[in-house]
Amino acid sequence: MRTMSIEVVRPDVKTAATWEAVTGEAVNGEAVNGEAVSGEGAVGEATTEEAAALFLATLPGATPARLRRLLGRWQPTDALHALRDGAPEVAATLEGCTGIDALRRDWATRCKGADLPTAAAALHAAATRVWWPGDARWESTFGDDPSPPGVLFVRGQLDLLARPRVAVIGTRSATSSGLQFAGLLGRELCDAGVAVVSGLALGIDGAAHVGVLRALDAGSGRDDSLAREGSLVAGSPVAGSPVAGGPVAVVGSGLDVVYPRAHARLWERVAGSGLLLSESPPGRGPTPASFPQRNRIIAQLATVLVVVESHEKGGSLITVDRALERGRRVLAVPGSPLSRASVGTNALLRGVGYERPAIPCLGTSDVLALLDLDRTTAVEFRDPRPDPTPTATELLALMGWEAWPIGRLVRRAGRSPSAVTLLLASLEADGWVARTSGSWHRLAAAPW
Amino acid sequence: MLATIRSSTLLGANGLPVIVEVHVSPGLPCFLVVGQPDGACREARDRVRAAVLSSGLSWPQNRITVNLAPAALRKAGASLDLAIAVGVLVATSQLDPAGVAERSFLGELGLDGSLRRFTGAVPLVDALEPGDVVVPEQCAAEASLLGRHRIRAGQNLREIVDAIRGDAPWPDRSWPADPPPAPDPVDLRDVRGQPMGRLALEIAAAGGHHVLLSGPPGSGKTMLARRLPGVLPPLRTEQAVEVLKIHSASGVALASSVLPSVPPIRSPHHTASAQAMLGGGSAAMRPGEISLAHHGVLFLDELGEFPAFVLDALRQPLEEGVIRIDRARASVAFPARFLLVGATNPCPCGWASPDGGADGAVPCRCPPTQRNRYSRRLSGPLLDRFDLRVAVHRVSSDELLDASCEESSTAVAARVARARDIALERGWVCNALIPANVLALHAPLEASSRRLVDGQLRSGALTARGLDRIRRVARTIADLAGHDPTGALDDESISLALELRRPLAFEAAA
Repeated sequence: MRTMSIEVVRPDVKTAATWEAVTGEAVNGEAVNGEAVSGEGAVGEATTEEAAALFLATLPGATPARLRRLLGRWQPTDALHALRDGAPEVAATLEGCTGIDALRRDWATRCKGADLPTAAAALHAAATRVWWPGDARWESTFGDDPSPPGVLFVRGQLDLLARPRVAVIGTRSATSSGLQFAGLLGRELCDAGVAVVSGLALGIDGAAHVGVLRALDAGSGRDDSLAREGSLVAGSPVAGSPVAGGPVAVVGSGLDVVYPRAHARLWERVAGSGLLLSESPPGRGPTPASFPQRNRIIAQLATVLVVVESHEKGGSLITVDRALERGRRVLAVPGSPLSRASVGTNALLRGVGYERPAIPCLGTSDVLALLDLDRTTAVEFRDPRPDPTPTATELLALMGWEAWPIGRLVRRAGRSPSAVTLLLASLEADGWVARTSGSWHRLAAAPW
Repeated sequence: MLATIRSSTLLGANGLPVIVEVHVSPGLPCFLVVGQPDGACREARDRVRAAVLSSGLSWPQNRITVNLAPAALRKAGASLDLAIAVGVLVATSQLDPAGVAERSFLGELGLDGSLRRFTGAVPLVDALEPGDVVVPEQCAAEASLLGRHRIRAGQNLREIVDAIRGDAPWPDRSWPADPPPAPDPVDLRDVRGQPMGRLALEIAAAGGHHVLLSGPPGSGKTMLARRLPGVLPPLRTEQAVEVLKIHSASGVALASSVLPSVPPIRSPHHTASAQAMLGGGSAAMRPGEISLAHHGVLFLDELGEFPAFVLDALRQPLEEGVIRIDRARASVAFPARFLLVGATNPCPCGWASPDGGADGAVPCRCPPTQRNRYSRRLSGPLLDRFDLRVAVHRVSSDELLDASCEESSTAVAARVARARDIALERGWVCNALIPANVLALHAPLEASSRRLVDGQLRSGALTARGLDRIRRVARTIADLAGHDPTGALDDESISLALELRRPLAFEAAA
């Protein structure tokens, strides 16, 4: 964790004047807060309010509940002043918190040494903005949350939260078909204008967001081609192309501490074309406890939660519990009873021990139906793959939807290994089959 | 008086002729050995004196100087004992110089005058000029393997002295030639299923391409590897002599008294030290496992368990076919042209399979991070040396109980031999050795086939060197299939070569 250097601030006139100015500005605090976090991606100097919020979040013992009480009453700098000066309202605000007297004394000492420029520099270095209770968007997002966060650190576009929000989550050790389905779901939801919420973990989480990013990539290219076609045919650009969604990731570490390392590129891409959220201040690494905490935010953000694959006791099931507490609708993707990666999701579908069984998710339309989103607003899906040759079609039929080690496929096809590999090579080039982890399998759609 | 006796000493896997000069002169009685003898060789003084006395012969009360020429070469081991003893006897006129003139002597002496076995009989005899070679009886069969010398064998010094003097005939114990070894009992016929494993084995044997087998425990990786020597072409005479010399020099007991025809297979345990793998030692350098596998197969089971530096040390001999070992006192090159077969589990628990619990297999219990760490154990450059990477899957019950007969090693070996003949016509023992600069001539790639490799080249999955290796493997596949040996590579061969070079499940995790 990056430590805030604690210096005794001399109560000279200049500092006081700065604070005065800040407090004055904070009269319309909502505007400051909103403007600070929804700026057009360009990270300027963090405001003093943001620096103060970061400082408060890094105080030892600053739990979400305590932060919420403070920031529910004051703007961050005001809260800092109140704590520093031992204002009588503080005791009232924090009433009922355990060990609060000792904490107040400790916080008062620390607030006296608050070094806001350093905190602002830390925010700037991590390209991170801060979001705290008080603005309208926070209210609409976390207003009904039984355990909302105290402060959130943000990279990317907060506007994405205005879209319909669907969480796509699942196990880290997923099967290839699970990863494929998560990617497909991510791509199609994004095309339908949904913000896809996930946790950037290995496995399903990552695959879902890769799918979203593919949709965004393809979308920019496709829109161009559509526009060009339109101008050729009708002499005018195509209007009313649907607004695409985007990736929203809630992570368990500071936004500058990439975890898992394997997702470093994905992390940056989500921050660049979507939204990254974290409860942890910059510099703080992940802890075992931070992931269930992160899961409750995912559950709160998502209107609908889709579990693609989950083991018998998976972290995804914690998210499901949090989502059910919040009255969210939960979908689960059915899997083979023999697949360990589907034991958790199948149990959700059976529903024993839950208030009601999860809704089966067999495709994107199942999700969009729950959101009352018209599927037709999504871009029409056309299979861009060239038709396979008759021999290749035969091989595809024979493969079904199983994963085939090459040896078994050769035996089943009754052809020479070189003939089968040549067929597979041409099918792979056209996007009909793929090879993962040493086995070949059919692709339902061109690779996302 | 001076006596000169011919013998030889071992340097690496080769023998070097040594002249043992013995000078007996008046002076205080003493016994000196000069000419860089090592420890065992210097101790010959005490053994030789005791052996001569025990044999009922007399020891001179004079100054005895033994020179081992050439003086610049360090002499190792006890195989010069007999030559020194005979030299002393000649120099003291107990033996007629004419009786030893055309003879060479090799052997270690016991204190009672008995003759003992020494290591490296094949290369040591090979280094000697044609003529009689006198050796201990235990070494006679090994010494006569090359057949260029007349081998005289005795059990002890006395027998040999009597024979040279003409008092008794040379002991004529014929050491019965072993019958030719029975055909290797392991046969490809016993391997059920595994079409890709069998195919990879055939291609490896035909083209000399290295193989990596990955699969869960009990899936048959070791079984497949053990059958590789049986499909390799039999050793030609000059290859057999090289193999024999290395094995003899290492002190490995030789299997039979005829020239080996089946290529050797070595499977060192993963705790083997770098010296044991590569060869080494201080004065007497011994060949390591990679040289013992020369012209044969080096099978490394549990490849991931070998220390990384031992595996990476294999890279240079894999390229050059020879391992040079340099020490302060000597520098030796051992031949090491072997076919490398690696076997590894896909993950620590061994059960990672492409799709969770498919086929009733035991599911993998390893967390993803641990799988990643396991996959990183094998360095990229080493993995790159494996042209054929095969996932060995558990055999299904259908395949196991299938009564139909699998192809035998003999049938596969016949195809392999044909492919090797084609390679020899091109000028190389096997296709893996075709240099990159003539690949365009021997493995031409037609423009229409480029699309097969284009994607992988662009994505970086295939490097320029990787493409060369693909072309060599594809050449081998085409040769095995009986395609025109001078024509362009066909699409099927190229796609199969590409498929066989794809990263395995555990590599994909990295």
